[in-house]
Amino acid sequence: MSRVAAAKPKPAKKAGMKPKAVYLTVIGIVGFVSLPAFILMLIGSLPMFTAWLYDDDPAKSTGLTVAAMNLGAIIPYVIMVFPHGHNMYAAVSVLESTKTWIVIYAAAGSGWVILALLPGLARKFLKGQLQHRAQKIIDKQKELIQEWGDKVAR
Amino acid sequence: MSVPVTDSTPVHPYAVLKTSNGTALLDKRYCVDFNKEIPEYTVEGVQAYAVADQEEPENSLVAYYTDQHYALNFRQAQILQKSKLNMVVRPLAWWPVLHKDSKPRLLVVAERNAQSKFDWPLSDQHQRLNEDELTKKLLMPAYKMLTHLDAQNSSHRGINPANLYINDIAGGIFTFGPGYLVSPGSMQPPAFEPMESALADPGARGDGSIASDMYALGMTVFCLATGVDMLHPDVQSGLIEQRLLDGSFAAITQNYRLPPRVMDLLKGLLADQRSLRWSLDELEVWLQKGKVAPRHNPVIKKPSRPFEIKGRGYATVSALSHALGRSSINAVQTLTSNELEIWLVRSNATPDIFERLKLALGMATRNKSAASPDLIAAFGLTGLHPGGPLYFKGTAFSIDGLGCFLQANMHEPQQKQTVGEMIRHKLPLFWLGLQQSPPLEWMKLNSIYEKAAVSISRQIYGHGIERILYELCPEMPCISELFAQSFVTEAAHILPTLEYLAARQIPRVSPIDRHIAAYLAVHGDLVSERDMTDLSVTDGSGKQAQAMIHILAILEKKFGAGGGYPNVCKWALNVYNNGGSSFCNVKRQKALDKELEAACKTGSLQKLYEAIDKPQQQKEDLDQFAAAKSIYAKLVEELQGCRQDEFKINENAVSYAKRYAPLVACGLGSLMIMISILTNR
Repeated sequence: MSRVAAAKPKPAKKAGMKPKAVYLTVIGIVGFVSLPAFILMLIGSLPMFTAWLYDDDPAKSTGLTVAAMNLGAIIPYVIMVFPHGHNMYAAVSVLESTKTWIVIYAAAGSGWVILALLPGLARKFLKGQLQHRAQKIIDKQKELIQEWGDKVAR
Repeated sequence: MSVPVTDSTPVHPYAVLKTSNGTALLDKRYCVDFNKEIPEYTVEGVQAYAVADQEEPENSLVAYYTDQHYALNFRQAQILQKSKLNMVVRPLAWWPVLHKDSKPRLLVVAERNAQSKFDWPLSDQHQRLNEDELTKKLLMPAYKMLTHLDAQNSSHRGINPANLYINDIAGGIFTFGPGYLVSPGSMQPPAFEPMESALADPGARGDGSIASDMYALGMTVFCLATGVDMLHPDVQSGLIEQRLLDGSFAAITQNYRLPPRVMDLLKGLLADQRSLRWSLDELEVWLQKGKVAPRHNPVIKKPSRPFEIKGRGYATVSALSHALGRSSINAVQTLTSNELEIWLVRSNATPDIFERLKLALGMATRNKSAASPDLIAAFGLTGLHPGGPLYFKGTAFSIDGLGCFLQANMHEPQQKQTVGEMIRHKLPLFWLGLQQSPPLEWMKLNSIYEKAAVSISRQIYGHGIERILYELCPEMPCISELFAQSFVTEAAHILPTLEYLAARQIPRVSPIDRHIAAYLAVHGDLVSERDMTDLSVTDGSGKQAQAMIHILAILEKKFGAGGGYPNVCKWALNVYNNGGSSFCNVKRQKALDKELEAACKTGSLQKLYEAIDKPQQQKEDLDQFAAAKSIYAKLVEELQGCRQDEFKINENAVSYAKRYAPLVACGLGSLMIMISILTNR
């Protein structure tokens, strides 16, 4: 077996482990500090876990994107638990609200929208960049031909 | 009447003679009447017509209309033209003319110093000349004419009784007919040629020397003293073989009784060995009634039995060599046979003949791939009889006859190749190397043939067969195709002739072709070897055109005042522009084009050359061009990279999206948190 083939799986594993560890650490800390916040976070992160499991990319870009948007929506609700008594009642009242679920899932969904729109935007950007580069080269060639005649291109 | 020729400039363009009324006015002076032929002046291949001198009507003239363009003994004609000799039909002027068949020919106007042609053969034996008459009427004028020609290293090559005229006013002394109208010696019957050239073909006898004239004079004396017509074909048949067997003097005079002094004269003049033949000094002593110390012609050794080929016997090596000369196959068979060796041993041949034969056959076969029967025969026969001519491919050449032969056959590829092969295989050098006590003029020939052997193999301009032609015949006009309508006999005529041509229509070819280059290489030592090499470059680098303009500029500097050749300038510029530009840089080239145009307007080839001769700038330009070319190549590579990237754009876009989507999401997520915190406050 070649060395290249043998070395392939390692970096993929490392790249998948790191954000997961960070997230578990954050969840752990939150759980240790506040159980209601921990429960709220665990239930609100369901779209993130689903995306994580669905993503077979070693870099876990889909999981990370959905996670970032999902967390962006959960964290304000987690913060809301503390001024309202920091107890299970406060956590349940947040979870009971339909608005909470809509916001959290809409945010996670927008992560998927970002993933769907970004390749098209990147394509347009790269194409423009490439056209600009090619035009610069063609202009330089024209200058050379003007100075030295067609034989410079032969 | 028409004025077909102009000679107001050094250019002598040919013009078609319009003889609708049968006359032509030449040089606004000589009126040639083509209706009045003068049969007594007509010689083989040359017609004679009446001429009237309009400036000096008392002058008695004759116009010779040759059937050839340049097979004329120019050197002799020029010498006689400048002389004041009255014992020869002296040429006054000549013009090149185009005949109605469009072949260029020469029209020579000459002085008629005699009243009538000598009536030969004699109708009455009483007309034979005695010693005094021979001295006064023939030998004295001959001595005077030959002394004049010898002083200028020339010869007559046409002395025989049929080419004599009688000047009745001067007491019946003989006037010698022209020897300059045809190739030297080609008009002479073999009996009037010495052994060194009698065996050669008429067109390959060569310039010869005064020694050849002395022999012809001896024969003429014999004819006039005995009345025997040695020109008659019956007399001539078998004479060569007899001369080879017995020696010329014995073969010719053995049956005749002549006064002892005349016999002494004939013995001196008819000696076969050039070194034993009387010179002009000895003739002078004889004319002054003095006694010339006798010279003994060597006795020709004859073997007890002749060498037989196909039932015919040959008693001497010279006769055998002459017989074998016409067939290479027979010659090779004989030369390599044991019979020849046995015959030579039995004939008591000297050991050097065996050494010479071995050396000759070794020379012929030194390059095995090139060793042909013709070459083996040529070398072998030279080794067998070094005193004979050069036999090659069925033609016999005198050692100095290659030039005349080439001159007359330059447009015949096969004949041209024959001469080229002889020179390439160093046959003339081998022949010269075998000669004992060669005359001085052969030393010069040796050096020419040495150079020619190198030159013939070189393909570049200024070398090859053209160079050899002009080396061997320096007086010959340049026969470039560009000069088909012109008559260029000096390097100084080249530029005016080219200007004359270009003024009518600029030819599409270069003004310097192989013939002109070769002519210039021989005449005047004007053109360097480097220019010749550059002239041969055909890689489109412009070197050829630059060398061409350089040569033209040299010619202008040497022969012409600057600024007189606007049409040659245009011509040269056309060729130059077709051959590629001087500079690669467009701006520089445009500036140069303007400069060249200005130089062209002045008509100065030197200025034209100065404009293109910028080696430093050209070098810089080339270096910069090379750098620009490499930059361009890199740009092409980059552009190709862009095209390849375009194919991968979708792949790259997905990769970018995957890389940046989490970052964008992080940014938006953070923004959401901040907004929420701020709104809850």
